[in-house]
Amino acid sequence: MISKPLRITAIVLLFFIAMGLPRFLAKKPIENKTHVIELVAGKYGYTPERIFVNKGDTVIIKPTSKDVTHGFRLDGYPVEFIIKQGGVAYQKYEWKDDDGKLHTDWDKVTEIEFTADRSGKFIFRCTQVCGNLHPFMTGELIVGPKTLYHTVVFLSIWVMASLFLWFGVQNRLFKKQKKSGNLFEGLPG
Amino acid sequence: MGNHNIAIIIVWILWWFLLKSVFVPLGGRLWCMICPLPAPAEWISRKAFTAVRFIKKPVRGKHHNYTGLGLDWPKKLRNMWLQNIIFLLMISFGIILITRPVATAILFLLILAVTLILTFIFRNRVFCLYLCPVGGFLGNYSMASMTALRAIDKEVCKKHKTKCCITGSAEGWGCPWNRYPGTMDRNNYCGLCTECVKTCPKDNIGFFLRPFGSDRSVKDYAEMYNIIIMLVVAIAFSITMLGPWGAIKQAANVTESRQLYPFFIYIGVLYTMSLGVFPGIFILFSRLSARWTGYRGDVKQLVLVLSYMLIPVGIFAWIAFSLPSIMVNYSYVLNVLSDPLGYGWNLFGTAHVPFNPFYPEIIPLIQGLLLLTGLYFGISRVNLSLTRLIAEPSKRMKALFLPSLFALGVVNIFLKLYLG
Repeated sequence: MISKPLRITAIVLLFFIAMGLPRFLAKKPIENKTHVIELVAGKYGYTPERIFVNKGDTVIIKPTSKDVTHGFRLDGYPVEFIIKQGGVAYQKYEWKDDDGKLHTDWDKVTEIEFTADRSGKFIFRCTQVCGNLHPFMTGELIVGPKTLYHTVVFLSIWVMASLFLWFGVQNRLFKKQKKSGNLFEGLPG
Repeated sequence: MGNHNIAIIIVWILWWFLLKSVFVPLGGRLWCMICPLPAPAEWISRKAFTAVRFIKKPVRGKHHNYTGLGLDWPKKLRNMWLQNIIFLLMISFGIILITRPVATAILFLLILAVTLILTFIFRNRVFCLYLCPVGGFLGNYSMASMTALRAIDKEVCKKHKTKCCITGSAEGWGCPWNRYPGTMDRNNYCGLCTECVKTCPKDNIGFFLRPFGSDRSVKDYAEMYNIIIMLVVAIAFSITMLGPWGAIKQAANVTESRQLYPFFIYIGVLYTMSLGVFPGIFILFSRLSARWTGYRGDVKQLVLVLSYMLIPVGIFAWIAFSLPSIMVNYSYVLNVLSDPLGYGWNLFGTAHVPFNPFYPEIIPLIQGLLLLTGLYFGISRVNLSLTRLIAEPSKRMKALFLPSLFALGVVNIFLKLYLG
């Protein structure tokens, strides 16, 4: 029978392992690469659906549409553009005038370049109403290492393990649960 | 287009998010209290809007006369199977339903028509109890909610002869949900209409705050299947609607894509997973647990007790699923509030709020934390339930282990979809 202090110590230790192990195991890329992505937008998805890069890599997107005008807005990154047929795109950019007021303009481009400087999973979504399923037209940019994902996976195992360790400590399970506050008591009449 | 239509935005973005994230965890079947869909039928049934039509001589146990035949729902159908089937049929066209205003309108009109037809045949809220596709999971998930309508002192109910809560009185209608508060110990089939609060002459009905996950008895396989169907549908919707796979979206989008074979494959996989694979694995794990612990009681009862674990997991999975729709699309809600009919109005000055998702890059993190919370409550609450079946702690841990692995596996499917 494992004692209560030992169980609690184990729970705390496992927590730190769950939090720290993904970071420790995250492999650093040997060198950053440049990824050229021929992105095709069509109702209601993108090809490729998922883009896999590593943190620090350069991503060059050459977009085109196979049907109507679509949009591309990448969560977590200041990357937004409109995609038309024939490989034509309009990239959004913002600038401040002399009074400090923010303006938005669009540049006609054939490719969009950015550096994937944040790791994790980022959704890119269509911003131009293109049809019935427009709100669900998304793709994924996955920037390794996937530390957050691995951390949460380890934490899910930790939750289960900790509960099983804790159940061995708690002996108050047989107490009948008392009724909690009656909200009607506070009401007039 | 759906994203500029008030019905789509208010129902499937705002209401759905509030239902899953606020109404159910806090208030259980709170939505049923205010749902407008059965209201016309109930007015016709009662021949009154708000008045109580009390008759001295009871008719089949109630001091009221209802429109039509006033029959009671057949005993054999007093379970969730019909709701499970109707729900599966409805979500087969889920992506069409939530993107086409006309589909949403047809659904509402259909529900209205069914309630009106039923009101001429049956008394009480039979549609809400046995047919409403939303009511099925609302009932099950309300078991975990943090509020409950209950008798304050059940001894008072035992001594009270007239049982006005069921039969009705001049103060209020007999329970339209056919519940008896004197013995009611679950939220599942209580629609929070508060008729019993009005009718009880002893002032013996209270609305209690309580910890999350307090009702823990799953009654039968119909309820268990509903719980698992909800989980599988959450996975399916996460893949179809939130995932990047355009081919799956097109398969589900049959009325536009006109691709029948992919659609049949899509719903075939969905039905097989929700009615066969997932329940089968769960029942197998639960039965193996029974063997491992040498459990000598009713194994079916053990399976049902263990299945409660999937209610908190399901609640938080649905919150995690619904979160992106509100955080990404909240601007559409502001737009339609100012221009509800698309006439170019600007009632509140928000008609032209641009599409600007609210910190979308933190959505995966919040989803992950929600899923972990659901896992915690699922396992911890079932551990409490198991005490009435298995007294010995070590055997209880053994009984809990495999089903907990199942729940962990399901949570990790969601984690893979949302963060991986």
